[in-house]
Amino acid sequence: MEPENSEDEFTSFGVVVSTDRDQFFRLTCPSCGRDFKVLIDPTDLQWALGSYCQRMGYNLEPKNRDQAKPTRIHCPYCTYEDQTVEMHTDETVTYLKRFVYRELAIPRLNELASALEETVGGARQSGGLFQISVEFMRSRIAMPVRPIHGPEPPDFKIVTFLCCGKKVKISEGWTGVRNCTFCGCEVMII
Amino acid sequence: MRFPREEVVESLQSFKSRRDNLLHEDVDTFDHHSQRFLEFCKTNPLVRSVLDPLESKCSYDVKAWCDAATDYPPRLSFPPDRDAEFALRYCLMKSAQEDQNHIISLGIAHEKGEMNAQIELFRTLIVRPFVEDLTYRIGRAADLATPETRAVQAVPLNRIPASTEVKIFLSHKSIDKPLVHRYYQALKAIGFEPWLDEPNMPAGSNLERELLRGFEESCAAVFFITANFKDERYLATEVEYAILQKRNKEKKFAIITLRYTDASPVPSLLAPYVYKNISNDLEGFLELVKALPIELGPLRWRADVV
Repeated sequence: MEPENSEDEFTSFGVVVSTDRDQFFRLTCPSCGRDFKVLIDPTDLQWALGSYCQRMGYNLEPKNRDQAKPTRIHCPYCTYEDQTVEMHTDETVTYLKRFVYRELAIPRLNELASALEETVGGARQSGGLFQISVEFMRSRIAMPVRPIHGPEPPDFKIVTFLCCGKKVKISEGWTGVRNCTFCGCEVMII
Repeated sequence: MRFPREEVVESLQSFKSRRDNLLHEDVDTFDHHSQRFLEFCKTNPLVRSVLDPLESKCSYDVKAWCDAATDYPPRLSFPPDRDAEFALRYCLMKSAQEDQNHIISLGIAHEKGEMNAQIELFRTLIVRPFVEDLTYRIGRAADLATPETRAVQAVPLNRIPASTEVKIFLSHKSIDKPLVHRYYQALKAIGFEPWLDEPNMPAGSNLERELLRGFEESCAAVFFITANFKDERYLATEVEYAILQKRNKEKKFAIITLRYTDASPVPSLLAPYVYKNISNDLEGFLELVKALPIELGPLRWRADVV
């Protein structure tokens, strides 16, 4: 990740997310609310993280924005189509928010507090016709513990789409897959 | 140890919820969440399967550790063995739950005067490393405890043939019937639908009409050229029907010619199509299956063995 307005300042984040034993990553359909899993794609996570940074007021974007675009997929239950970044589970969203808060928001807030302290301290020494005295309690926000993602349960069955060769994991009892999750073509589980 | 999949999923969900409350909820509620988390660790069978073998191995003197950790300067020393460190942290958490003075003393030793700061320190130094390790261990235990993932296939509709277009027409001379019958049986045994005049044509039926229908319902025509082959006229009608099907169905229809080693040359009608020289039935069968435009599905257990 790279701050947008600075060419010199680079910030790197390493996010660890949990997949199941087959390297599948859980998503939730925002339309029907049911869970399914796809093979992990780092690009989608980059976009998701960038999106949460932006929501917190930090204009960040992946370095290779032009090359990597978030994938669009179809829900295997209701066929609703959206970007994978819009399909992260509540658990993942909370994890990413906590991550961004800890790694980005709090250090910035603490920097701001330090800068304010210096500014006010400097004003006291500048002299002038009149002087305003400001007193504040110097307190830095304590760093919360790093969040943990997972573990991801080894549930669901694998469905291989013979149209594009890609795989999805869906609820054991669900047999009503009508469209390929990835290319959208009409399919049937047989 | 094996657990039903639903039980594993439920255990992991409860674990994650209690763990995140313990780590991230307000420090004022730490005591409550710590109690709930430890209660869960004490009773949940999946967590027990991780903790039981290690707890019995833990021989650390928790009091001595706490004394060293709250001394001045404080010494936080953990055993080099990962299991032993994990077990010690668990003991420390249980001990702090019983007596909050451990948290306070540890905080004071690290110059944390306020209770909130003391709890944050305990959470960072003791709790988080423990739950991180437990997360990893419980995830592995869950994998081992549940059976292999089931796999199915989703086939594009345009790849699913109708039942009226997947037969395999076996064209032959009557004298070769025993040979062709072996192919018929083998194809049937592995799930294909071969078409042979004898079993597929009811008595009294019109030969030409039934032959044509046989071709129309087929995805391949197989011609056997053996040493018995002498006159190619008998083939003419069937080759014409096959060529017609090939024109109509294109890639979805295959004309397969199997020529045995000692047989005459491939008849001129079939010469434009690819043929295979074979020395035995097994070789012929392999070439036939490879040339078909249809394929069989994934492996399954027989119904009577599960």
